[in-house]
Amino acid sequence: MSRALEVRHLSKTYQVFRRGSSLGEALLSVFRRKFTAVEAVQDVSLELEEGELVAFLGPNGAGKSTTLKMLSGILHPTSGDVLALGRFTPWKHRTEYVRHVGAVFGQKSQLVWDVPPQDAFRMNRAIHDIPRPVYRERLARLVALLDIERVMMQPTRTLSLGERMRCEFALALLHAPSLLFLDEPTIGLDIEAKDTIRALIRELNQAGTTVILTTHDLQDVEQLARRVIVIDKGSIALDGSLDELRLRFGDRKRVRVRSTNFPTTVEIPGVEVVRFQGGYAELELDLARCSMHSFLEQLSRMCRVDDLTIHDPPLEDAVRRLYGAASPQATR
Amino acid sequence: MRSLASLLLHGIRLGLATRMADRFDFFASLLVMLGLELLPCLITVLLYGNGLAFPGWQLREVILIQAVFLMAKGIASPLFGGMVWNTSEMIREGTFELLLLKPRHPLLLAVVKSFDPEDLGKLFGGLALSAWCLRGTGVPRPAQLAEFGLLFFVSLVLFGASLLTMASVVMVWVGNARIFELFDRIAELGQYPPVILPKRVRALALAPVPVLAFAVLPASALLGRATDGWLWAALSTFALLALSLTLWNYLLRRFSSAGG
Repeated sequence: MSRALEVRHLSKTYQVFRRGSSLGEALLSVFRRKFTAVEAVQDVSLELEEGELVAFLGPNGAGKSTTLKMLSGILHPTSGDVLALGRFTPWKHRTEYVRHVGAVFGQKSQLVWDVPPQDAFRMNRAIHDIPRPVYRERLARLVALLDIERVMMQPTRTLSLGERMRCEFALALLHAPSLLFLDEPTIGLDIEAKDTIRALIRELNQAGTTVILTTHDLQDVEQLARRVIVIDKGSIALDGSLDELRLRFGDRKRVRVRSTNFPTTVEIPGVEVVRFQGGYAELELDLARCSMHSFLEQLSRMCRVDDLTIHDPPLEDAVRRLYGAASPQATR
Repeated sequence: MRSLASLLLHGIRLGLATRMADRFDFFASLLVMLGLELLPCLITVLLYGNGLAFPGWQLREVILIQAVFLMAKGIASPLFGGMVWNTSEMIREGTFELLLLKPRHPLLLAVVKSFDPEDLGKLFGGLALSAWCLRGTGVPRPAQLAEFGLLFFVSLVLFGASLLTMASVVMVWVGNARIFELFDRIAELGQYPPVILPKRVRALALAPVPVLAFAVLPASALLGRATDGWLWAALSTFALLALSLTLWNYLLRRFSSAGG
């Protein structure tokens, strides 16, 4: 399998204008400006195989978008190299490179507000110079796949967010890109629309498209990504599988217990009470400090267990801890 | 070339479709824009009606300058005018970078995606006025028409280069609302016979600020009048075009290397 992206020591530093808020400082800034260097991305190195689906996570302002903009050819880095699809440096060979790149932004539309999606699709055909028969065939497939036949001739402004997002995907896929950048593609969508979009992403990836997904919705990550890259303060804080992310702060389990005589406090080392809710107690168990066997033994001595479920802690917890820890170190 | 033509046609179609979404707004804007642009013609008619005149110029000859100006603006503005606001708006909204994800030059896409038919009214108004003027001044000979064709092309390039300069400037001067006003004030000088200008300023109006190339030179060609200095005006126009393209590309590089 060949590489979709090889990123070596990628860094990006911005010069940001700084001034105080007083009138004097505002006036002074007319004559003398102070700039501060902001290291948005610092020494990021990674590799992506063709056909991978990778999720980029990170808190706001962590450097995800800047990294993705450099990988998609929009921004020039301050230093470092990227070899994309085996032959392109994105910012140097932008025109050729983006022929193979698709992008969907949850918060930036490529459709035209006052005209139907059909018109924007035609425009995209002309921009990408797609032969008419190929365009017709691809469009028919995408229209069926995304179920957008009904909205093709409706002005974009009359479409629901879900319909619009499906049209955004059709638009981004018309030129059959082999590398797809998705920036919060499910933001604001209802559950059904999210499922449709996730199913489409899965299908595209299974068909061989390399997908780079940026999101704050961890359901997207859990349902789609095999690999997660967490960026924090401009550096890679973690690059690994979902399980590695969960295990980063120890092997933990969540236990939900229903009991009529559950104590108000639990004094088992390695066990924390997360919450009491609807007759259930939710506990988090650190398996390094307390084995499941030992926990179950102590629990049965402590109360009468009416019901019990065991599951992995939510991904949010691991991510929250990781954002909080913020110690840049790649684990892959 | 076919692909470029197809792209331009799609841009025109999309621009028309977008404006047709609200037909009343479109036709009302078209008429208002035409009415505003006819103001210099009205002033000229009032001047001549009150016994005043531009020395050496008949009423229809002056109106022809203004008609040629309207025609050139009526072609250049729909093609390049929308780009000025569109670029500014896209940068403010953060959608300018979407242009960089397309396999075309961002400048071409900015032009194609900004076609605005609202200014076409100026073209039709200019054509009608030109016909009226030429009925009074006589039909131009083929050589005059050829010279007009050449100078009208220079005029279109000058409009295009000026609008491109403005579109470049708004990449860094985002949020300004008066850039068109600035351009209109300067271009206004090109809607009247050059006799309104002092001799030294007249030379400057050929090069390096070729405002006479907007309409005075092509209209003079149609009228069989002297077009002295047209080569300097043409050279200045192409120099401005080169400068505006360099500025656009420089600011685009700055945009993509500074972080958008």
